[in-house]
Amino acid sequence: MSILPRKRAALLAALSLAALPIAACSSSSEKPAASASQTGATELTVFVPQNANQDLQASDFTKLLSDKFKINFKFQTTTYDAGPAVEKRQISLASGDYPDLYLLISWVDQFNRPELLKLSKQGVILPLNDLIAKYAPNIQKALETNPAYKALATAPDGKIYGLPQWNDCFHCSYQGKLWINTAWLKKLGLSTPKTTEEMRAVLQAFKTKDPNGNGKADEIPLSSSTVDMVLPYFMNSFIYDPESSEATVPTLARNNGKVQFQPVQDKWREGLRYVASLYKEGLIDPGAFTQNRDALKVKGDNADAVIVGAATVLHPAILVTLGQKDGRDEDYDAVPPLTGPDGVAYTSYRPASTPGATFVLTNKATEQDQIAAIKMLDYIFTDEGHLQGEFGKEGVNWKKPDSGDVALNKDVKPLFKVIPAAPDAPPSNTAWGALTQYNSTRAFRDAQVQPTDIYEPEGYERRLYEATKVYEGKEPKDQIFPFWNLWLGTDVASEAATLQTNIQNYVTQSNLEFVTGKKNIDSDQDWAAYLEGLNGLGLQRYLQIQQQAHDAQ
Amino acid sequence: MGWRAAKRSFHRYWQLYLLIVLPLAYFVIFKYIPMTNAVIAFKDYNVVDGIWGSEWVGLKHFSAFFANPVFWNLVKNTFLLSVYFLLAGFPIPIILALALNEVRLRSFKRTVQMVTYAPYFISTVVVVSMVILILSPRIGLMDRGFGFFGVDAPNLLGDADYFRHIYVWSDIWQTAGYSAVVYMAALSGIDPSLYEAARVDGATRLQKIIHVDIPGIMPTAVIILILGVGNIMAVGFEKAFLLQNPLNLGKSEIIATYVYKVGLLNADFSQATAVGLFNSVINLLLLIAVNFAAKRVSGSGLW
Amino acid sequence: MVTDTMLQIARKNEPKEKARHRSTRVKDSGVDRLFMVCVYVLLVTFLAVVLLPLIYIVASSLSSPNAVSSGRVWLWPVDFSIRGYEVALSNPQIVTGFANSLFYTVVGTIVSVTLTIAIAYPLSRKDFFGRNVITAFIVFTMIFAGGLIPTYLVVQKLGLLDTRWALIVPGAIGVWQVIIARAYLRNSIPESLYEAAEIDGASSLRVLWSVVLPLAKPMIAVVALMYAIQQWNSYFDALLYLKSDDLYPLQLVLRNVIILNTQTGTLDTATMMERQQLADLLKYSLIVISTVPVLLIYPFVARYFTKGIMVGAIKG
Repeated sequence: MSILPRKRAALLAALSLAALPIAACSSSSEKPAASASQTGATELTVFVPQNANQDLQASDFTKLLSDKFKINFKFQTTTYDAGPAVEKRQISLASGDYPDLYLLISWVDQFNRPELLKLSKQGVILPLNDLIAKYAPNIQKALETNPAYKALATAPDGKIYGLPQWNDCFHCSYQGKLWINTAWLKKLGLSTPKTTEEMRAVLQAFKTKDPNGNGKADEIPLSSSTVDMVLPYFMNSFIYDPESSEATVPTLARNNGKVQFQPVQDKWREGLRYVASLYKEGLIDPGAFTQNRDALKVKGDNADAVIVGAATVLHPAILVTLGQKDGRDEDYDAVPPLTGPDGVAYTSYRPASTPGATFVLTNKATEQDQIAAIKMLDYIFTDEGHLQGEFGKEGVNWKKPDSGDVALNKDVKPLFKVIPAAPDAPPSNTAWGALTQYNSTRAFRDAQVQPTDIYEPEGYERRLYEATKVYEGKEPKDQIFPFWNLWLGTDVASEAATLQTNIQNYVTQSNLEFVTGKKNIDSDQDWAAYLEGLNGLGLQRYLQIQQQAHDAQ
Repeated sequence: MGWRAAKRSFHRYWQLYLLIVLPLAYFVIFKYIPMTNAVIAFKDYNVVDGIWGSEWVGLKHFSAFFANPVFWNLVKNTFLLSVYFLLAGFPIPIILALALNEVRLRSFKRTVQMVTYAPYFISTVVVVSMVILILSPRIGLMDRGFGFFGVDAPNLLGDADYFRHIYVWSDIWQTAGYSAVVYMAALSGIDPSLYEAARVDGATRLQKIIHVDIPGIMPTAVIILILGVGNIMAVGFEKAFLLQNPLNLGKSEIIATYVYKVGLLNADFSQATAVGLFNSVINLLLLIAVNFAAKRVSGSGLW
Repeated sequence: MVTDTMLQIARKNEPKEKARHRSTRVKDSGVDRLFMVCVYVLLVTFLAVVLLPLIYIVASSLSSPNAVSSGRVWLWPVDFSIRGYEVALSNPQIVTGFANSLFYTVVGTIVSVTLTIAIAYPLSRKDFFGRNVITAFIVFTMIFAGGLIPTYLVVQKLGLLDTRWALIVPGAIGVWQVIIARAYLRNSIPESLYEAAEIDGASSLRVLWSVVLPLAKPMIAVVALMYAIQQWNSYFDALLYLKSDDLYPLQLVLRNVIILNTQTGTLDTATMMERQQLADLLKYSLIVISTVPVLLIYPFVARYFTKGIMVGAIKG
């Protein structure tokens, strides 16, 4: 086996390294600073996800924080693998051997609100209000200037039990998009549809007029995947549908301060009727309701000819691979919300940040630890700390914009430009990456330099940014039910979770049965049975819980 | 057996009693001690007070689960899926092993064995991905097949009635070769004199299989069947979850996927443990019943 | 010693077996020939059903990502590319991961098989007092599992965390394997053999060592194979119990490669797309990389599934 010689080589390398500091003694003190103890520094145990190409203990950003705030970091690392990450955090709590600080990533695993309430009641986690007021001017400022962030972070009792990450990704806030093949539109002499009936005509033309010109009726007018839903985009031309490409979002709206369940409204039925009629005409790919994203992409990337006319996906790269030889990926453009028969043209909205908390201090932290930790986070809230934390060193991983560079939002002054790493370069280990996305405000993200050619793969972020502009502001602000700000009490959290799972399951299943014709949307009997079924699952109780949580806010 | 038999056994097998000490210690330490954790099904578990300190709530979590309007549907879906898999998945590895046992061409035999056991190592994600690709309308193999005859292929993925078939047969595809290995071993343990006798009697190959091979592997098969029954409610969540879509939800929602979904909204250890305990009790009852039946019918069981 | 003589008889039996095969080959009747055609048709069909998707996986792993995502790859690589393998194998941890996995598999299998036989053999003896109670005691643990957190706490208390033993000890004995081994021993070893050994004055351990084990080779092979596969495939325990990445098994290293390429929080969207494509490709090459070693051990195991190991001549 080749293991032996390798081992010997490693041994040799280690020996020669050991000899090095003697030769270069002046620089030797710098190397192990991140892990060596400093006098007067506080030891902070941090539970933190570490990716396979990271070494947090040796990271440059760790060293920077360590020096600046007199912290000796002791990391308890977990994984970016979401499933096991949940288990690992639970184990760390259950074993009683939990850290001073949990520093998590919202899309890997974080504390959810029922947990925060439960654990704070038990005294495990500490409210941050006083610490922020005393030691963290930048966090304080972020909370004051960004009311949405403050609302996300604060419990009904006014306490901040942990801080959530804030990453205001503009295009992610508007997920109910439809992308259409504009080359086909042009070829057929059609313009971008503006109403639901125009859309029907366009899809009919896609189906029957051979827009890909191969003489075969192989066109799929409209497709999607089970992750990216078909319904929300179309529903919003009849009634506000807050769903996006995630089925777990409750389909709730607000009507004069009262919570309202959309899927039982008459307008919802009309919306279903419309989509069902499209399906009946063969304008919607039956696979849209059953296939995953892999299968959708096989259609989008179909080798012989372009066959997909439109898709309700978050962004076009879900449907087609970018940078294709025939340039088909450049043909898909976003269609603004369609105007329905009653003049309704909404779009679904939700903030890109998830409720919960990623920065959580525990009762293991001494006062010195608490102060050091909050000061560290305060630094991450500054642009200087944020840039070094998320991207790394200036001049290596990012730089100040050059003249002529254009920010993502063309109207603002660019702030920074990320230097892409060479494809096969070893990981630089200079940054903490996603761990530092706390003050990623719209303004911050808008100010990053992006290429101006939106159809180049490199300019993709800008393409999505521009496309989102046609949806921005179309969400009916007065009807939005801010479920992301609700704190369900510990007494009802479990009940609410069961109710929501049952109701959402039933709604997604029944609605598609109406669309595909298994249930008849025109039959009053079928509709009544559907409503009856929802009541049997405890819809009224569910709404009651939501209303209470809403009123308590 | 009475006390005298015990004494005789201890006297005769004292070495074997020493031998099982270590394995038994393993079961106590790694299985029975963690098992005490199940009491949290009767408590409102919180991490600070720990397993023993948490508040006792009796059957609260069980009654919450039983009162859930979807409860019976979940139990039914889980049970039917599992029973189907057990019934369909049980004979196929046996047939495969019996057939392989007849093959004299060694290279062919080895090839079939190796190839058929390879799918066992493919992750569920990839298997499901391939299944969806094959069955999806407009792209899949299915579609090409039907397209050849000029008909539209049925969308099997969108038909709840096909969910169980898809689940079970893709599982059989993946595990049959692996499961056959046990039977291959059992076949090689059959007393050769029985073959000799069959030959003398002028038995055909089929008769030899029926009268020698099948009785020879029967004890193993019965044991595997009993153990399978004891796992009926313990269907894993991953595959069903990945194969789920809104149109098959009526049959694809099983206990494991449901608990996972509720857990996403609100992770409740006590409730999840209660559900697990419910499954275990059902499994235990089924196992005892089938063991009893097997003893009656074939004379051999687990105990 | 009588036991040794018996084994000699058993060994002498083997060539006789082969002779018997030769003779039946000549005497295949028409019915048998028809039957064999059916057997071959069945096996070839089964082989094809299993083989085609496997070829698809291998072909995909050797194609460009776009060729795979556009559905052009079927049974032959399109736009031949070994990028997936390059990325996976260029991971610096891959060599240590492989060596670790080899260690866990070999040591884990030896430990597991030893412990399994240590309990399965006594339980297979018909007059071993308490065998039914003990069997029930073991089977019970298959049905009522303790769960992750309490098991972790046990591993922690024993001081196994972040040691190699954490991957070997907690899952050392499988109930399924014990029960299968017990059934095999009970059904395949004739009681008369034990009686003969008894008369000979051999101790229980001596009987186990020189009579039972040689006869139980097929069963040992199968149980060892199962433990080896289980050990080779597992990554979750490693994720929970290990901190030092120089202890990581191959599967965990490979999984990290995938995670790294699918979850990319702070990268710009363009890089993210590229990574996503790479992840799609890696999906297939990683299957090949992790499966080939286990496939290679199979022939060594299958050697023991040949007829004639059992003593035929001894009858009660």
